[in-house]
Amino acid sequence: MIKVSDLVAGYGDNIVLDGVNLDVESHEILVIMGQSGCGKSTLLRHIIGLNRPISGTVEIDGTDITRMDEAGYRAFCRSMGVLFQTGGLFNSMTVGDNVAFPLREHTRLAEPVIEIVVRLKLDQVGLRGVEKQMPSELSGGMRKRAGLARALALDPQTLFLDEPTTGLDPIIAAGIDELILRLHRQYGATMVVVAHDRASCMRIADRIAIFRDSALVEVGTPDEIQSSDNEYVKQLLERRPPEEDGGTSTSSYVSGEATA
Amino acid sequence: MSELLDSAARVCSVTYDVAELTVRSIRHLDETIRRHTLLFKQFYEVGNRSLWVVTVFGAFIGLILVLYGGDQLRRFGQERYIGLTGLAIIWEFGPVFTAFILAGRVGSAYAAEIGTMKVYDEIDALRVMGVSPEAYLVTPRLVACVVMTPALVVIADLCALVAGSFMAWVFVRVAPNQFFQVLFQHLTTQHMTRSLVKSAFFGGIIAVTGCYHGFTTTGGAEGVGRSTTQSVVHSLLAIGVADYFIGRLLLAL
Repeated sequence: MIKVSDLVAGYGDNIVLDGVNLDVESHEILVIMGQSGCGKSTLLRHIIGLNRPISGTVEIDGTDITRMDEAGYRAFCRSMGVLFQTGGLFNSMTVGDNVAFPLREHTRLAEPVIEIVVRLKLDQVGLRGVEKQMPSELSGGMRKRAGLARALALDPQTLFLDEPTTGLDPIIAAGIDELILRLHRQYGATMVVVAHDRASCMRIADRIAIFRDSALVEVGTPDEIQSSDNEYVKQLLERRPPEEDGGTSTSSYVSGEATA
Repeated sequence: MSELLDSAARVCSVTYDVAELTVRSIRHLDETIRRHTLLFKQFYEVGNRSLWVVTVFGAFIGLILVLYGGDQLRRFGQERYIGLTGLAIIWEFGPVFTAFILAGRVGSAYAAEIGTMKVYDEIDALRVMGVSPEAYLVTPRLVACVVMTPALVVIADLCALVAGSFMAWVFVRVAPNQFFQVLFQHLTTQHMTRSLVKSAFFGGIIAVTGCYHGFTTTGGAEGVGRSTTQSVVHSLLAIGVADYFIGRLLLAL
């Protein structure tokens, strides 16, 4: 279980998250939604221990990762897998070596065994015969799948996925959604997913957390979120543009009023 | 005045960060031994790949020093002492020019490589897989530069001396055996040790400065370019400053 308590985070004087409280239950898929710049990725970076908060705590299974030493953090990293927005694959290594990397670093498995595990993990994400290819030779969707295979290499208890479908066409994105659900069924892992796409969020989420301007505004099941009375939540789900506040509206440029 | 103070504060801050990165990297030496494949790869990158440029550059440094030195000594009828230019090569020109070449060839490559990894989340990926980026990226590069720079300096010195002795023979009619006889009359083991110790320090400066600028890269391709340039400029400045202070220190010992 992940428990974020009174988290205040930022970069320099810029506060990006202001007193966030959020719980993620074991084995659930929590999707974090919100506008760009509202602090979704910053929250994820704090949950996985990449950044230290200004104040507050992030507890994973009872251990506060914000106060872990280096050895403790290394041990914690074995129990989680992370898929970065860009895939985060090492461009100087083949896809096979990328997936094998955590196995070589954290286990004493023999090379032939590692090769079998690599093929198995790539097979699970629907990639076959790409072990010898370089990441630059893969398409965007394939890179994300390969990144997911690497995240799964150590059979993690918790998976963190940063915008797994962003930048992909709807068919590939739907394939990634199905893959996430299938992996969740297979591994039973707790998953925290940062996403923008409404359809994708509704499809995969057990619960959705919606952020706005450094704060959490609503948490609930997809049905609860869809029936929410919160104006911002409705605006986000219905893809409505922000209200004009005195400036010249886009429509007035289109109609020619602005230049008249 | 305030701009000057700001610049001084920035230099102090960067120097502190670089020193901290060096200490953190040295602490991971044991992990580098475990990942010896990475270390050997870096030995190859720094040593073998720089061999030709260091050899050619060393030879031309030898030629030009003896050319100018011979010209000056001939005016006073002291051509027979042309072998003393070899001391300048071993004390100063070999270590400094080899370090300059490596700052441009190796230090800039480190900044670009690590900077690109930073831009594409590869450094964060290392961290969340429980691997220290300092241990994985900096320590092998630091060890490779500290070991290979003195080795390359020895090769550069040899090339410069052989080319210089040839130039002495052609230009001021001093035979190679006379050239080396004068040189070895004045060259001591202490001189050579100082040169090699200095070279090792220069190697460390090049590696850590390049890696530091890689880690501090922000802003995509433009940021990588900026880091690469800064890495070379700062390495050259640091080598110049370190050359003076290490020289003073070694002379005092």
